[in-house]
Amino acid sequence: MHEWALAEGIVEALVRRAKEVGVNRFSRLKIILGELQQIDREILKYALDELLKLTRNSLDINVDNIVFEKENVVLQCSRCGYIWRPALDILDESVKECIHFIPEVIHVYISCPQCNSHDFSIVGGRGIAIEIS
Amino acid sequence: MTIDPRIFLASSRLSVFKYIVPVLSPKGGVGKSTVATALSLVLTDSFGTVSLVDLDINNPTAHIILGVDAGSLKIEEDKGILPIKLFDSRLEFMSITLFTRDKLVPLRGRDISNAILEILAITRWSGKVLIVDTPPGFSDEVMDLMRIKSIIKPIIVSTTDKLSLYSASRLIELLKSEDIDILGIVGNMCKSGDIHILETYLQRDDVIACIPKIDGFDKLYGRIDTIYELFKQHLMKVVKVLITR
Repeated sequence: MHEWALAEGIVEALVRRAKEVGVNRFSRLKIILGELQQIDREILKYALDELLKLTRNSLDINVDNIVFEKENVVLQCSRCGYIWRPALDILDESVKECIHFIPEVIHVYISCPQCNSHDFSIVGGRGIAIEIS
Repeated sequence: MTIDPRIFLASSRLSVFKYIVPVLSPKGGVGKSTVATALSLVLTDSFGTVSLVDLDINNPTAHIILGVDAGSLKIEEDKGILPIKLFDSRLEFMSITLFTRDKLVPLRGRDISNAILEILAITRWSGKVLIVDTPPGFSDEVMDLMRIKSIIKPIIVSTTDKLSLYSASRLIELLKSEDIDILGIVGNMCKSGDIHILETYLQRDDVIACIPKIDGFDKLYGRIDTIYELFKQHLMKVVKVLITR
């Protein structure tokens, strides 16, 4: 699953951060999930738990608390300036899957509701980001 | 501080490669996609499985040369996505077109960088060499790649057209100034004696191949065995140079 790949990236980021700052215990890992990428939170959490177990055993790197935060997707038309939240639910499953893998392809499948332009920006809720503390 | 975990994932995914060879030209229409595709096929003789990624995000075309029907393929997942296997599984291929049903992708700079990073982060390659088909120019796609210059060995494609030579010359100057190790120059659509024009104008002694113009090449799209046979004699020199590096 794609979520496993993302979990691998998160763990890799943790390992590098641990090396950079010379600590092996983090109090909080915040995972921001952009709505556009439609990441399955449960699968991501499961993958993360499994990978963190391995990291704990092999590198003694620990995370006390993992929190998830959802970020709504917001688009802004570069031509007319209109700002909107797209209705992802009405897209067919195969299109949603394509956007799940590469969120930017949404430019192919939807246009500005006001002027029909495909030239818009993803101003929020694109994909995954993390904060480590 | 917010961290993008894809950066670490992409770096880890690309670490499987011994070489990454972007096929570059600032000038459009010189045959970058043709050279990138043909080189990938020819390299399979020496490297087993070869990986090819089309990073022309706005207007990818390598899949057309390979005869891949982008609209009908189902993406396979296994802790990421798996590239499409072609040429008896000796060539693996990835392109944004597999996610756009072969439509034009109208993206601006930041979105292009994000799409590239996503492709590099989620694709699970198994080759030892990655050939990168790039868009014309020194655009976001190329600059994103240059960040990982330790294993980057670009090839510059040029015809003997003056605009192409002029553009290639400027690109060489820029890459040299950034200490990027150029694998060599590939002349395309060449006539007999054109190697001297390329060497003289570009002031380089590393023109490693001169591919003649192949009339009706577009009729061979999808016949990858034929494309391999046609280009093998011209591109074997590139393979030798790559191996010696």
